[in-house]
Amino acid sequence: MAKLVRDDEEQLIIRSQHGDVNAFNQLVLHYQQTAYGVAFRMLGDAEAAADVTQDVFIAAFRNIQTFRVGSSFRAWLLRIASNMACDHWRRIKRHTIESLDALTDEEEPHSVSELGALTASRQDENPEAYLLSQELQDLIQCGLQELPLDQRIAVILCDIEGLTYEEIAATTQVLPGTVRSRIARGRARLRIYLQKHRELLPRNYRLPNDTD
Amino acid sequence: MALHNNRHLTTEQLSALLDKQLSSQEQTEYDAHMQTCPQCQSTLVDLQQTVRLLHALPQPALPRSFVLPVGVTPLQARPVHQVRTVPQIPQRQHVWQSYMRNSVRVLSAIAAVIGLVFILSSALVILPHGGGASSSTTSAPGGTAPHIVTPHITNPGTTCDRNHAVPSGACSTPTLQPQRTPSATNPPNQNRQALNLNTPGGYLGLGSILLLLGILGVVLTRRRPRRE
Repeated sequence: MAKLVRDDEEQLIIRSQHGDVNAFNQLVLHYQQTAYGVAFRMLGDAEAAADVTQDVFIAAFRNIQTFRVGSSFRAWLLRIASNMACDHWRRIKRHTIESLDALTDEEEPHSVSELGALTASRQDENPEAYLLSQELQDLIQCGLQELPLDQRIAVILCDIEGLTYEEIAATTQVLPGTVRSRIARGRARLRIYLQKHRELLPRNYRLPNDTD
Repeated sequence: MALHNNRHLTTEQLSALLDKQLSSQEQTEYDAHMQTCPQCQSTLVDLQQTVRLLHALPQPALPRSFVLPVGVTPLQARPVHQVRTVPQIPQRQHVWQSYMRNSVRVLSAIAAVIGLVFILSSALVILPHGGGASSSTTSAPGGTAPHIVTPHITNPGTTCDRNHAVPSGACSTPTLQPQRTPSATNPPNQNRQALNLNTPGGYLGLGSILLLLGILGVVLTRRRPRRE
């Protein structure tokens, strides 16, 4: 889908604020991949992520009048998405993965079964790389779910969705300094987690500080 | 963040260096340190690899479209799962309206109480011989403001001693004007002075008005139950 020009987006938002659901659906089509991606990476479950994403857009339409035209719609929408994903996470208390300290090298990391069927990898990747990619995706997803919620959302928004520190600050309603701290700590924890399961990493991704 | 000599960069500093989120001074300092510190170089490479892995994650495939049904209005839109609470986005207008409503309700309640006090004190005066037989200090029923109404009614015919402050219309002789002493803790006296009420009847009227306004204010500012 072609990138929405800012003026076009503003017009769609204004029309949505007047109750035009068709205009709002244009925004949905533009942002649904981003919203679903955030929810999925936050929760690690496709069905839960789909439910949360639907709720996000419903809530966004219900509260569209509160959006200040001229500010970042993406940040506003992702704020709803991250809040709802965090709420869902806390509600179902999804702690099927053991704590980072309890993991041993012999243990298999928790495999999120839906991941294998849901990758959007291209068809022309070689099968071996594709398999490694699925395992790696599982590993990284498990590592993300090890992170505290605030670090998890910061890392997802920065390193997966590509938001700037300022955008993340606007989305999470914290200062840029706090964003910087959360991203750093999240990356550090993820790095430690990946080091514990380094045998699953592709050769070219092996971490230089590996002892073996 | 200033970099002290002989100290390594923290994870946060390295992370910010990776994202180019540094001030020009920090950038200069950190670059200089990185050139001479193999440990920090190694840690930075670790971080880069981690970020690279995250960048490489593919977007999860959309299971379906999330467009809303045509014909849905903001009032009709409901979450897919009712059990989940939709976090309310803070609305400054609603906060301001709530504050105003509460303030009006409190003021209305105060006005109603004052009006009730006026009415009761006037009634005690107007009732034939009803106030004169009392030889004790009476106070407003319910003790709402005992310090306001402290009539000193000893026996019939007793005139108010103008040398003594009589807070409210406690005199049994309607024709006499009680001592009007301004008091910061005695709003009824101030009101009476402002309206120049000379008779308990006027007092009664004022009390009725205040009570009516107070009740009206409380009723109108009552919080209506939300329709879900």
